[in-house]
Amino acid sequence: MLDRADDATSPQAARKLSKRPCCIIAELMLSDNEITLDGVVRWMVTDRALFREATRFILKRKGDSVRLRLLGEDYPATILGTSADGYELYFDNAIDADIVEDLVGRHLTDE
Amino acid sequence: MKQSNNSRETDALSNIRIQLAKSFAVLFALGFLFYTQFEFIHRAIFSQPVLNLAIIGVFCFGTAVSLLSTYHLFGEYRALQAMKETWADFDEMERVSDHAGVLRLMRTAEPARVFELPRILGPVYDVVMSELLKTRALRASLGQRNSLLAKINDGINHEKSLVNYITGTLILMGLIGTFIGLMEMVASVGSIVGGLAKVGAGSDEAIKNVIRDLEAPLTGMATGFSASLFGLFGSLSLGLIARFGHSATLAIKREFEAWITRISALEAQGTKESQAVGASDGTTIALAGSLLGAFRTTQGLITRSAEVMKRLGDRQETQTNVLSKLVEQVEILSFRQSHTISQLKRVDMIGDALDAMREEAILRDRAASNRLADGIGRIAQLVDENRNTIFEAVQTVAEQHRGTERLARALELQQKRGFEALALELSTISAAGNERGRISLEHYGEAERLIRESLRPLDVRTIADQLGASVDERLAAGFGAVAASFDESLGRLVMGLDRLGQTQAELADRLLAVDAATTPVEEMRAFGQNIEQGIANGLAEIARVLDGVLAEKSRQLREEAIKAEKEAANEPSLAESFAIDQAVTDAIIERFRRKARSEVG
Repeated sequence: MLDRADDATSPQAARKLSKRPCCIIAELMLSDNEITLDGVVRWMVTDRALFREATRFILKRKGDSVRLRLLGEDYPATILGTSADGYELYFDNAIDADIVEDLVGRHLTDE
Repeated sequence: MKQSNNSRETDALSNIRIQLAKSFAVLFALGFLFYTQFEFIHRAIFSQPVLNLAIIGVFCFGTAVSLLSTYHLFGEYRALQAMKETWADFDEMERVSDHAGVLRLMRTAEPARVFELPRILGPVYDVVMSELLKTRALRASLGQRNSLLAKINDGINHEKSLVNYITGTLILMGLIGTFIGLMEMVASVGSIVGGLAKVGAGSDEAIKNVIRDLEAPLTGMATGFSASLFGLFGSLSLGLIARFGHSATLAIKREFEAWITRISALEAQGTKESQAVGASDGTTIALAGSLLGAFRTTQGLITRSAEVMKRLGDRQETQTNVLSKLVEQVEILSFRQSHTISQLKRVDMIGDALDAMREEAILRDRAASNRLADGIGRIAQLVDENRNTIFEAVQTVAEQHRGTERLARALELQQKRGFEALALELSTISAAGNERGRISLEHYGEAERLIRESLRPLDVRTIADQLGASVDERLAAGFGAVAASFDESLGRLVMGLDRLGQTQAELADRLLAVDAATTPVEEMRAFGQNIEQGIANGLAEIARVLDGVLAEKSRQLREEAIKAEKEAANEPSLAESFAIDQAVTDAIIERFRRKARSEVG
């Protein structure tokens, strides 16, 4: 499922960024029932991100509209799929590559 | 406590596994039985293959459903563990003051277990997780607990309803097979009884026939027994497997019930403290639990608020810059707004001036209209007066004409009478002529001359001229009066028009002055031009109408004067000749009378 999501292309992505592992504390707000899941972003590119909920058990979700809150900024997105690594998100509006690089660069986990 | 909980959780998970293993053990036993009794089962199946295979198929379907239901209990278990873990995390965060949830976030380094929304605990999961994630606490009252447990019971009943239905269906199918076999057996009883009667005769053929006929009821019995066997055995086996699954489900339910009860006990943590001070009242305990829950909720909110404030502090500089820019924009906006207000005031003043000018123009327009109406009224009055004068003059002329006609008729009548009197006299003379022949003969010539003179046309032209001159004089006097009256009316009309022209010119001057004083007031200029144009057009129309009226009146008067003059030129000659004829007749008669008196004398 996630491999299929990897094949998705976004015309809004100005340049292709690599999925560098990071750990950005974030919140995922579900639009359906307005609850907030806390967790971290494990990797992030301009149009997608992987959100890992801070729990051992993850409910399978797909196609849900959510908002990823990163450092106080909300990014509307859609859940592409769920795996043991977390929820893979597809941003409704691609994030600027400089912002993504800055965020990921400041929260890298191994380099 | 935690160890006890872990052991209970392990018991729940192992219970699911054990029950699942039991189910597979039953299936294994059935498989072993099928293997060891293959020939018997094979014969039983093919004694009524359609029905028996259908029973076996339904049994397999029910078994698969039951096993899948039991397998899905792992998802239920994970959902329950997710709820318990979330509640435990929030409780731990509050106890160790780890409001950021660092310990909780540490789990993100490990792979998670994914589960789908469970069918039994699904509604409960939504409610509990929503409450936990929103308030970071779970306050479950007795009513709420009962409601949650009722939802779980509904889910369990819905889950096992299909398996129960399949179990009943298997029994029904076995009974159907039994009935089918019994019907076949009963149908073959008649032929068997008939065969037994023949056996009494000792015929070998009859015995063979009886033996052959006995196959039919035996086949029916095989059908009935096999269907009953498969149906009942399948139902019992499926019921056993479903029973194992239900036990696993009840283990999940018991675990959830134990957990929710423990939460309630912890929420009512103040109970023990209350007992220590001797207050064991249940109401106090509940109140203390509620207060504790509210305190925890408030604490969580305060913690989250502190986090938000911290983030706000981090972004304060940016906000300060934004606010300074916002203040600048607000100042610019305020300046522009004040400028706009002053412009609006000026526009308002211009609007007031325009309104005043419009009102003044309306008043002037009304005054001009009134004066115009007065002038038109006076003109109409003068026309009416002149019309009366003309009418009187025409009436006078008509009266004179009628008098002339009466005079002509009287003259004609007198002339006719004169001629008649003359004829009478002549007849008298003729009668007396015989006696006075000589005298008559002597004076005949003279009389004839006198008669000829009397009959000779008189010179009446001079008299007619005199009469015509008199009529002309009177008509001239009458028309002179009419003309004088018309001249006077025209003079007044001209004066009225002059006054209107002056008023119009004055109004035009004022409008021009207003137009010059208020340059932007194009509307007032157009309004004044319109008034001026309208008044000029109206006066021109009035003058044109009056010219037409006067021309028509003059033409009619001229025609009547000519006609009267012609009549005056013709008619007086008759009257004059009539008067002359009367005088001549009187003179002749007088002469004849003198002559007669002289002759008598």
